[in-house]
Amino acid sequence: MNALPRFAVVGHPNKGKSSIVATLTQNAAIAIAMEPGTTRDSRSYTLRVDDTPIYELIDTPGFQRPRQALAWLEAHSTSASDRPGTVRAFITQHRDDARFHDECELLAPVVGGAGILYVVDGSVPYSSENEAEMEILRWTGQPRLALINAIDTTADYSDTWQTALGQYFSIVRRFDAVRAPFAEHLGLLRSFAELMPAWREPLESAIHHLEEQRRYRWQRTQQLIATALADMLTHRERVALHDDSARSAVSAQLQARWRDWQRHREQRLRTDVEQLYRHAGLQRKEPLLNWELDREGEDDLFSEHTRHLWGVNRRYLASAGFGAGALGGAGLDAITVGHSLGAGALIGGVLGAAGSVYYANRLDRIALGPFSPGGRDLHFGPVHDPQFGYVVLGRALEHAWHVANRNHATRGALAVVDAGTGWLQQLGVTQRARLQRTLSRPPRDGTDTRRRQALENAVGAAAEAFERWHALPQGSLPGSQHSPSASES
Amino acid sequence: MSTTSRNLNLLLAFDAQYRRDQQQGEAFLHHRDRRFALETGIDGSADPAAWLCAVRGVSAESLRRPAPEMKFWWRARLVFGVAGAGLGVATMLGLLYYTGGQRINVTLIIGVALLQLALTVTTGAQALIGWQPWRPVADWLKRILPHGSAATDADALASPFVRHLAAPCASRVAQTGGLAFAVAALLTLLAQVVIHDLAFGWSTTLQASAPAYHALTAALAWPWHAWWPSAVPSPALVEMSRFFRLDGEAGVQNAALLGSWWPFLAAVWLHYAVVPRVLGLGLAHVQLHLRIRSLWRTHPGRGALHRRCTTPDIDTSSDAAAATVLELPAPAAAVPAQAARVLIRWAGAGDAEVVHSLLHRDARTLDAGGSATLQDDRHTLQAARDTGGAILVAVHGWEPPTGELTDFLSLARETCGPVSIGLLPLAASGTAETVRGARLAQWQRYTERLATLRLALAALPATAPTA
Repeated sequence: MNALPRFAVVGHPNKGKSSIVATLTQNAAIAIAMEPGTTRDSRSYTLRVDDTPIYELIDTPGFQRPRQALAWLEAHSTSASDRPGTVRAFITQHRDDARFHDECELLAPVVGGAGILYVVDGSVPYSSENEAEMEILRWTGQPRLALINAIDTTADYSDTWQTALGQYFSIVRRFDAVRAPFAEHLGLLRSFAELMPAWREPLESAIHHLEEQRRYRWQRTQQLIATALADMLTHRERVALHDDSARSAVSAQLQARWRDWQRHREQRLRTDVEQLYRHAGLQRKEPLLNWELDREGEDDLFSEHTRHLWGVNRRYLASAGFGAGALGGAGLDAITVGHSLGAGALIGGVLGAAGSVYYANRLDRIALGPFSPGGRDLHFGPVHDPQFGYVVLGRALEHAWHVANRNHATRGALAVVDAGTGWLQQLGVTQRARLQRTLSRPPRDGTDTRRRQALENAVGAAAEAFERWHALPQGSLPGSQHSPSASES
Repeated sequence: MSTTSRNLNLLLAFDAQYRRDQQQGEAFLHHRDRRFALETGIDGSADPAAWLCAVRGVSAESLRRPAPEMKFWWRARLVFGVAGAGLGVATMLGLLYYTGGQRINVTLIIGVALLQLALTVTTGAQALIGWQPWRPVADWLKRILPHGSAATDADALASPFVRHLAAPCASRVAQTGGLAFAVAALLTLLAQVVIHDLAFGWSTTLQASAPAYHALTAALAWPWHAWWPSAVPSPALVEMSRFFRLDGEAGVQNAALLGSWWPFLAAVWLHYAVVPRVLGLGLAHVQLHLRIRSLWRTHPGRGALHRRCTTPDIDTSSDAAAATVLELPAPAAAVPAQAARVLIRWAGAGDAEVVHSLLHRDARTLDAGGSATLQDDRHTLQAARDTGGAILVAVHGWEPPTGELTDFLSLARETCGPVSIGLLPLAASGTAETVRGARLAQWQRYTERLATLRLALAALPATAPTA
């Protein structure tokens, strides 16, 4: 027996074999590229950790002529003990026979030592036409496990399937390749380990590495969000103004450039996160960052309507601003060893609250810089309204959360909707104050380590709050106008 | 090449690679850097120089070349050095301008030396606090000067790391120019002393007495009075060398003594112009060195590189190329299902009663495929042939056609002869609707592939009732 665990994913055509392989190998290209039932050759997907193979999944074509294949096997077998050899003889006999090309492709890895993962669709009724397939697999004598996939969620015949499959397979598992959460992926891998004791160790190693990879990706996602936030909060567009009379036209042009840059930077963040999770080429439906007033004047990024939607109304800004200011003022109290009697924190808090409210609605302003040899600078940005950071952060977390929890078998565009307001309430008072402080004092540039670290920490805390919020039962989500889900369209 | 220059080149090369990597996908970067870590056997922080060589595919030697982003400052240093030396010679020649009819005023030379000291201190302090009043001019010059290399593009010059190095770099340029000025002026002074008969004296409008002036010179000479006593003016020399312009040369008693000021002046220039500039240049070097170290320590790329090097890389891609998505074929004309006299339900497709209600009332319903044996299939086809007329084969439209269905249809054509055989891909078990879109397309392609069997897709009436 080969030491490397190998699993052949077999079954009737179009029962989700490729979807299961796509989900377990985190390879979106499999599910996207294949037309149902057009897999004609086996494809091997090896999980490698640092180029060391850990286990191998083999996506195979579906059975095309199981009854004829079984008839041949029955005709050429003399006793129950020679059945695996008869299957091997079948492959040898029909290797060049176009009619049994698919059967040879799917049986070859099995007779080569691969474990069998037989996939059925639990959303359609059990059909006895599968019996010929299951009988052939039994003839191979290889360890085998049945997976009940759910291609359609409107109907469920899993119980019937479970009973029928139990007659042919020692282990029967239900696994929704499209919707199963990550923990179930790992659970399924553990089930594979039950097929053969020798496979347990490499599969446990694979599970460990996959968990580490998931943690690494989520941390990296937070860093990507923090970097994008810092870029967007500090971005300034400049242009040399040579003629004062053209100032109005240049200002409008400058504002448009600034806003385009912000949208482009946000899209780059989306792409980076999707690439991190190997969802390259993912189609996404998400409203762009919007500053323009619609007919009712309610969809502007800084309108009260939007503030309410994102849960960062003036009261929130004032309270968070007070906390952020108090944090700074507390430093003064520490220096005076408490002799200021908390006056530092109080004054800092009042100033922070006043500043947050004052700057609300002030996206940015056009300002003239000093004279320089190249002309006079006209610049726009950076943003002043603290809400901007909250909106960008909320949108980024919403997108990242869905990408992180999207299976690679999922087809269709990812439609990201506004998350609602509740997740901010999962933050503690101190965390809110820290978030407000870091959003109002982003890193000055790439070398500003202290502020960058503070921003990364604040984004990390926000990401944790966001995960907690998503883990809540949908009916109990506080302060939310939406269910916390993205829809697949 | 000094350690500072080497570290500077390395830092800028690393930063340039970091900015380039930000345009790359995370998976690619992780795979690349983890592989580097495994190949080099490192178990912690990667050596940036080795990493850069591996990533860029260059030798370590090429990393020692001056960074393109620093070309502006190298040029500025050269220009300031040459200009400073020229200006130093010209200034000292001007100070020592001597026609023989008047004495050279020592006070003026002392004043210029002290001015040099003040400029040195100001330059150093400016660099320490990071004040850059010259910044707009430097930025403008960077824009208008030819870069000479694609690497010094606007992005590279706008890098915060390049900008954070500007203050110590500018300080180094200014101190280099100042040192060149001071050394050239000192050498000019010594040359003039050798080739000319210079007569020095001191003069001031202020009501300063000779003892007070001597006290001033003695204070200035304090740094060298112990080891170079001849460079400290004596009270007699100070008393004798005072002059007033309107007096002419009337007061000179011993003209030879007037030249003995030069050791003092050389020492003043050495200690108050040259040495401070040397110290200032050294300080600028130290400041640049420390800034480089600080930027190295806090560069965000280093942490990211460390994580990528130490986190195992998991890959699950296949060597095989992915299949391409097939385009939808043009819709083919479907034949009406009502013309069929025999309905064969393949693998139990469709509800028998629902489908049958849409057909001719004399149509016969038969079963094949699924759990039926191959012998059963043959019997079904014989029964269909005996009934006569067009045959309709209902199939599960959501499933792809299998080889067994192909064999069955071939056998049907063989058994039943040139009758019409239609395929009815049903959308669901309990309904009388056919599939659409991509699912219908796979059946269209299927009938095209089996053109020799002369199959057609069948259509149900538009008003088909549903179960």
